[in-house]
Amino acid sequence: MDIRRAKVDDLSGMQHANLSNLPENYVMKYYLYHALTWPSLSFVGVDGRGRVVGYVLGKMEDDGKEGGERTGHITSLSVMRTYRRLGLAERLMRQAQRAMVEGYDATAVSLHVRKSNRAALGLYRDGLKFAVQGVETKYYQDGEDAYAMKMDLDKLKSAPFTIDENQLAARTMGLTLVEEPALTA
Amino acid sequence: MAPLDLPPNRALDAAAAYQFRQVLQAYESKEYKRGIKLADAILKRFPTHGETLAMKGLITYNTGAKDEGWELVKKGLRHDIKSHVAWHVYGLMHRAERAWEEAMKAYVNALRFEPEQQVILRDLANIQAQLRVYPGLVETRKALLKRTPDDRSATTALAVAYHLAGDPKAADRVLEAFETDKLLVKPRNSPEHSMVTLYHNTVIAATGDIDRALTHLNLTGGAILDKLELKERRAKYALALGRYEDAQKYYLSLLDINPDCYAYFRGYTAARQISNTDQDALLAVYKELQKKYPRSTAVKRLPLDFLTGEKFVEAADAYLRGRLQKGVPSTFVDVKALYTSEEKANTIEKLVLGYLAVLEHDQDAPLQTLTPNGTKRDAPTAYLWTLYLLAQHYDYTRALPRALELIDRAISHTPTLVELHMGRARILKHLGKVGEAADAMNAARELDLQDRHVNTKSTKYFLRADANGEAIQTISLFVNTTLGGGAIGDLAEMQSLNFLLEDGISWARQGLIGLALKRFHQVKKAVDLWADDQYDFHAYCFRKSTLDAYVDMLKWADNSLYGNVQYRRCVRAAVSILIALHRDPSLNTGFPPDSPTATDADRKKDRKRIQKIRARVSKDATREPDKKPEKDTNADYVRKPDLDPLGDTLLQDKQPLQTALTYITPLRAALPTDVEAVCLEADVRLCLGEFGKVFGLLESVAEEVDGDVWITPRAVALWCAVTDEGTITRSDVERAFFGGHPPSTDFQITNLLSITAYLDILNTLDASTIPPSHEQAILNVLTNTRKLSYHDSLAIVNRLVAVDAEVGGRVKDGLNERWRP
Repeated sequence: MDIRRAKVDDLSGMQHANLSNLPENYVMKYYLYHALTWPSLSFVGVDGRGRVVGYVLGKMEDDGKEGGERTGHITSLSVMRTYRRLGLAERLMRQAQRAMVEGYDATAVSLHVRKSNRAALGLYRDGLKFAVQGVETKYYQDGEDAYAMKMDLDKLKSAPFTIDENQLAARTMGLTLVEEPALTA
Repeated sequence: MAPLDLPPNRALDAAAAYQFRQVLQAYESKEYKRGIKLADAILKRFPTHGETLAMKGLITYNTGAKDEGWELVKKGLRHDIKSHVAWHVYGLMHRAERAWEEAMKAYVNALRFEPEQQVILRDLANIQAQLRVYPGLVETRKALLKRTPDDRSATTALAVAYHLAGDPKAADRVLEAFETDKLLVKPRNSPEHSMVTLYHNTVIAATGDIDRALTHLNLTGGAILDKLELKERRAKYALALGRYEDAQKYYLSLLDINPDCYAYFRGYTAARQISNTDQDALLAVYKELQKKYPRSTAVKRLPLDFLTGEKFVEAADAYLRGRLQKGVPSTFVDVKALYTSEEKANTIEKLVLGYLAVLEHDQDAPLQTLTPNGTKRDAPTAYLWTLYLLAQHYDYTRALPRALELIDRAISHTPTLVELHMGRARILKHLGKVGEAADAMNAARELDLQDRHVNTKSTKYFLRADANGEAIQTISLFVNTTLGGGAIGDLAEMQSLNFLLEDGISWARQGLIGLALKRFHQVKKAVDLWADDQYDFHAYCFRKSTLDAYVDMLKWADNSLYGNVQYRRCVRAAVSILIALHRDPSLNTGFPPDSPTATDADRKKDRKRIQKIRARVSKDATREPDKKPEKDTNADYVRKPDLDPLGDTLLQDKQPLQTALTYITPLRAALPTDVEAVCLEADVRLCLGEFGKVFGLLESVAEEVDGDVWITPRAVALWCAVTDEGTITRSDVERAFFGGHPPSTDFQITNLLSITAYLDILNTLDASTIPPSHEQAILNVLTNTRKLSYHDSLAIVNRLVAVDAEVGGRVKDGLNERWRP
């Protein structure tokens, strides 16, 4: 599987993958907003024909604080069902995290997971070492609660970006991964 | 500053002038009620004050009263035709309606009376970028820079304008001058500065001086925070300059970051100066890299692309065993790309059959070592995945009964695995059993109701079976039906092009062209919105300094936006309907024409069936929002009710050909030399009687490879339409397209497109016999074309029957083997 930085040309493929795989969807302008604000934080996995089969859409939080914590955020991450068990999700996540640290001095990265999505929760908590910060009630459009998760990136700065494949591969079968509700305009 | 010689109706006393400034302020802060109140206060005493009327109109428009707004703005402009404020407001109104050309004209007029107004200049720049008026954009950016010469974003904006206008050298000069003269303190750790530096580098490379571009990177590397981009450029430049040692180093450092990027591997082997045909050398390099990056899949997969013969067998064997042992469902789609080589496809088949033979004997046999005393105890599911892989293989090579047999075996082994049922549905689809395929995919879906992916597939399969009701019901499980407009409203708003297209094509198959046209219209609206989305970024990207991404966005909008597969399918389908409407306006009822053999009872029954469909679609599409929007919600955030849910209004189009051109024009702009797009335009223009234009269009692509299947039928139609007088004569057409002779029905059948071309020619020339040679050729193509959908096959057979019932019947029988009714 070919994994690389997402370009503007990839956005419609990412939107298509998102619409196929996840209940939280966004209009094209939201993808453009990501690509034209944080061009280095989104990555795609493409198949033999160059079609997007997995993606991660990343951004930096507008903390508004000078100094102190700079938090990256994973808006959306998804892999087509037919391409699971390849460790694609983990690789995409690692690339995004690395870019957040290098490009924006991020000290942490956050994301939301549906409370009912035990499999994804396991992946992020046990596999990728995210910690649950709390619950945000009625976070999703359909009213479901979300776990707010966060991971410190400090330790990743010095250590190499490695993944425990076997453990993680087992978890990515049949997963619905990260999804964020869209902001209104 | 207003000029001193104010026209009499522009003068306000101090109190009113103060109020006017308040009106402007109220507009800026969106306090619309207050703005209107203040405007009315001024108008009470100065009823013909154009600028106040215009502002009141603008504010009124923004409250949702659009017609009233326009009235006031136009009135205001009439009363003060030389006011830059009035013209500016007029421009803003056009901009709000995305009438870019009109807006640009208005801004230009405004600037005639007030040439240095910064706000107007900025708005003009945005529109010039939107309309790609690059030379104008350069001038506007220059004017803006003059006003704020120390502003970095104004500088970069001018540089980008030069670059877009085709003058990267000028862009380089502008950026260089700023950095030398104005940037006294180099920002540290600034993402914005990093991106401007990278863009400057882009511009230097665009001048062709790659050496300088590389040096520039080495000098400024510390300021560039996007290390990945920095390394990618260094590597690319070093390779282009032939600095192979450096390039190797750079590509290796990239692989350290991401050993799954195909481009890095290819760059590295190029930097090692190994030819693409030197398999041994390439393989040796990949073996080195495999040791270095043991967790990378790419490093094991890429050699399969360039290896052949025995070496391929060995590598494929190792790769496949690894994947199957691990239980990776995507193995087939991964190696599918290799099947362009028949040799490789056969090798894979042979290998996998070998694994199956061992595993059938002992399902727990490890695949990694196929010795009698296998060492590792591996996952017992290797047997399952091998069956699955083989089923997919035979599905792809269209040995469908064998594929079905294998998938059924896999399903009895593990009945709850969703992938297997999805695979089975796919095989049934290829057998032409669209109804059973839909049922099978639905069965897959029911095994994992939480997964949207299989829901999406199930929806698509329902649509292919023309089960539109089931389709929308299925997808409704994952869309938001509470915001008004029902499920279809949400799908249209979220730009779900795939659903809209497939639904539309299904309606078209059923003869419900109003519904079909509605869906295609929704697709077009979504893609048009993407084009409009660019607008805000013409200013935004300079605030954020995301310059490279901005330039990429413009390229995307110019080439890929309207050039993508979905839009093309939409145009193809919509134009076909619009031409049919033009030829037979009686089709505009929203009901398909009655079959000539239908009885009265049949007709009644069919009508009732369609009424039911229309009622269902309308009910969903006009569904009210669950919650009433709050009183002061901005009108733009509230979803508007669909006034034409069934496309009935679209069917009343009195100029369907002009509408067809609105679909085609952006496609042609994105893909100017695309033969199909040219021919679609030719079809429409032929109906319009514009024979000269048709001739020109066809001539422009006459030399295209495989252009024959597209051009010839149109050339025949043109020949029939023209006479021996007029601007284009029959001899002109004969000379240009038929080697000086009149056209005949002698057209070679080589592929699917050639069959439809041939049928078009027969239709145009009113021929009703198909010679045996052609009949045989058609049957051959239909039997042997791997990627032929059941629907396309049926459409061709029906057309054959219409021309020559006997031939059609024989071909249909001949296809029974393939489609097994």
